[in-house]
Amino acid sequence: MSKVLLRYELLALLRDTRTIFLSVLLPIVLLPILLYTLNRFGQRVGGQFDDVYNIGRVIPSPGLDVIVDDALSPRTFREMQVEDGQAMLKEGHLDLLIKVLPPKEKEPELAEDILKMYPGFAPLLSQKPKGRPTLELLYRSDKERSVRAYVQASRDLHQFRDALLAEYLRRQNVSLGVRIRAEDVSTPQQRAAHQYGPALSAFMVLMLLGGGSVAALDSLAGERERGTLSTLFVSSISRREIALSKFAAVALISVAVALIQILNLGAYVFFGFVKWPLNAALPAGIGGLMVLLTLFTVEAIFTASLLLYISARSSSFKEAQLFFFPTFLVAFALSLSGLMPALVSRSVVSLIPLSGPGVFIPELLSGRLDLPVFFLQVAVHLGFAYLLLRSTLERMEREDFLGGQAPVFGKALLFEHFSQRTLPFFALLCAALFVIPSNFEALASLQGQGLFNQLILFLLAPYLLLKYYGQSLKDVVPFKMVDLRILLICLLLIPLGQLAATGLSHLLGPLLPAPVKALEMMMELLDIENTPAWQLYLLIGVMPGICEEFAFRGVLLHSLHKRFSPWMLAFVVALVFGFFHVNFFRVMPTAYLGFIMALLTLSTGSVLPAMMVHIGNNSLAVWAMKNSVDFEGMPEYVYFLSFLAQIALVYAVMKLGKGYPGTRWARGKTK
Amino acid sequence: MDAETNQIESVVDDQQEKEPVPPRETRIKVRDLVKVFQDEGRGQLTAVADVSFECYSGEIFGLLGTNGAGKTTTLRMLSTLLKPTSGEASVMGHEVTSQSQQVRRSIGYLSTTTALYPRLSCRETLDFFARINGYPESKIEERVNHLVDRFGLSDYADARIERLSTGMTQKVAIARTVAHDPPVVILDEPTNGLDILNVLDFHKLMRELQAAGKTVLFSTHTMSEAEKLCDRIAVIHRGRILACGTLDELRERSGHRYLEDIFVWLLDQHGEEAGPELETM
Repeated sequence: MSKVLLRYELLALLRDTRTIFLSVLLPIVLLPILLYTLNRFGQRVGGQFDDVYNIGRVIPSPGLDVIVDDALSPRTFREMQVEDGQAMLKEGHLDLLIKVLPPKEKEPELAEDILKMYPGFAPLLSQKPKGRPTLELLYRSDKERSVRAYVQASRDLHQFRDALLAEYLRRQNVSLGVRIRAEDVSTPQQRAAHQYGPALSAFMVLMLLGGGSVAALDSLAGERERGTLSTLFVSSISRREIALSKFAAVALISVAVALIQILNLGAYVFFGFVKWPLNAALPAGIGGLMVLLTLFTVEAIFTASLLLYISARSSSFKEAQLFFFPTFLVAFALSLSGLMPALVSRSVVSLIPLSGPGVFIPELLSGRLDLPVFFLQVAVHLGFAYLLLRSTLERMEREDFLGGQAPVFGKALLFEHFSQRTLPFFALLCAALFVIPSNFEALASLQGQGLFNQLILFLLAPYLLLKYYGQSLKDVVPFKMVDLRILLICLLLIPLGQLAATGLSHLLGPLLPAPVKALEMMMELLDIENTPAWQLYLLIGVMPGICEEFAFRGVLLHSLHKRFSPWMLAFVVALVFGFFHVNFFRVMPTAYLGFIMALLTLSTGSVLPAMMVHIGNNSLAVWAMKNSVDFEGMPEYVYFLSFLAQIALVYAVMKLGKGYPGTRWARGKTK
Repeated sequence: MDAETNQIESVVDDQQEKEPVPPRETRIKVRDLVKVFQDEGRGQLTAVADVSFECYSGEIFGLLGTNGAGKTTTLRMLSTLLKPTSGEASVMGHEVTSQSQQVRRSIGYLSTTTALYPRLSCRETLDFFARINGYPESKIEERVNHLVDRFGLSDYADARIERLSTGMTQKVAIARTVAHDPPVVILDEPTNGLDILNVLDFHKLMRELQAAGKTVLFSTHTMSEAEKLCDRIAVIHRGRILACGTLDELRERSGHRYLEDIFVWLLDQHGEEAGPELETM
């Protein structure tokens, strides 16, 4: 990194009035408005208002005046003289109008219902129950005050009526059965953490993205457009130094802006302009605070590298702004992960940048510090930041980065586009896999999910992608016969893979435990007892073996085979494959199997062995479940030996196979 | 010592004044340089084909050609912004492909695509480029002051670039190019868009650089400028060098006095037409 460049970058950025205005001044003005709105929204949800509402009563309402007077506190409800209450409500002079409807003759249905629930009430209801008048509350749902008045009055009147009823029953010596009492055992810290923790993470991401955006977008895209980047490129500092210096400048600006906004927020809270009980939810001790700050720092590093990457991808400042907007929305949405119910940090969410802290921070604020998850999230953020920075540098080192001619054309250009778009495409598929089946009842079953996931997501969608980019099916998904010895080895790999993956689950168990609920849900979905065996083998064994191999070891692997070395390629494909297995505890074992299958494809130049192993492995799992065979309870050395045997067999396949065309492992190029 | 000589001395640093540069040292060596672009619409496009020439110390070498002749592409390869498809090129003995950082340290490069930071002042700009190009730290302040004086920037030294006129900005751009006192200066159509006074001032600067032993390689499509300034000229057309030599050598070879006529004669000799050209790379 060049310190001189960093210094001058910061100088130029700080002199940019856009940076100061958009990143510092505007949030200072907007923050109290935002907080006020959030507070009002929170109060509305919780019904915690101190307002006094105007109510009217349609006169006469004999017998109920006392109830209304006793139930509704004059501190909350101010009664107004009304002549035409409906008109006043319509004009907005009244928030609530109370009207009395005369009693009905009798309420036999009510009596029957009560007797069904509480047979002990029989003596009381032996007489024909008398009708009772109805108290009607008229309000306007388009007026917030009116809605609040209705909610408050309704609550007060119901409480009052229940108290009266209870008192009456007590006098009649009727037992009310059980007493229901609720008590919130959470501490104020935990409640504040639950309420504000998710917002804290989202707020930080908002500030980091907002603060660094102008600086980052201008830093490469803007400078490229103005020609200053050319000037820098002909200086004696390398492009790596330029990239790192610019990254450091953006990260520093992001952090500085975030700190300014934290101080800004603190000032508003300190002077009482806004209420935000952050003090109730600060992490305990220096350690907790350090963890929080470290997470914010790695988030800043990640957002800075993300912004710089967008800038490097764009040929002008305007184009960078166009890219920034959707990125901003996605990043902000990810940071709101803490709002998702029942999501815990020991889940796949910890592998997603910005999402992990969204869940982790509320847990931390409520007093639970999970160090392994914390280190994982730090590593994830730094890892993604590194990949983004590397991609930025690769772009900067391209000959056409400063404009000029496209380096490739024709089919090669189509392949390059295919290669660049596949990973985002698979990210979309992954999102669809998470969202669609869980929101459509028809897809909630094993059959529905199996057909939708396999046929639509893993077969049809990747097929359309490769056709769109004019790729040949034969090249992308090479389904070629391989050496018979390889097929025999694959047969051996099936049980070995099952055992090795089980051993890996044991190894990762303490770090990534399988939630009981998730296992129960999975078993409920499979419904081993009632689902016909042929459906289980087809939906879990055969179809994933064909369709998932088509998508992952076919389309995904081929699209990336020129961008990565074979080992790295197998790793990337395996990781993506793992991510598709929804539950965090399943990611690593499935990624491991995915890695083995990617190695088989890369070694043989055909997806056939991987399909065979995949079908065999899944079918074996189905067979084990149907026949109550447990792979879990074996001695640990069995798993270890299976793992070693698997390595030896994969090595043998690598030696026997012809290699994947276009990679270093292709026959003739392998040393 | 006259006033002009004083000015010449002010653009080079003290060290260089004490150690005169030996004559005819080869500073730029280009052998069979080729650059092929691959374009989606037009297929393969050879911008530079088998270009060879050498430039020496204390020499002004002109690349003369029409728009799209391959001048900019050649200079961009020498400044390491582009990688040659084949052939060899070196600056101060450093290969442009394998020793790009050393090459960039040895050159000052100016083109229409290089711009200045609008929010830095003149002084900051010169300080910045002297520093990042590795000029000795202890001498930077002195060097910046020299350049500010030489280019008549004293009144504007602390003004931001964004507030300067086009002519003043160009002066700062040129001063930036020589801020680290490089032995080789590469200028791509440097007088484009300048008024006559600025052009004359620029010509004077080139003479100063030459007198200080620098190698100046510049491209132009203005024949009179090449005639006036260049010690040697390479006429380039459609990526190929049609002729290379001193003006007298070209005159003798073609039998024409003026460079315009020589240029047309060379096109005829090579069966080329002065028709629509390739786009500037």
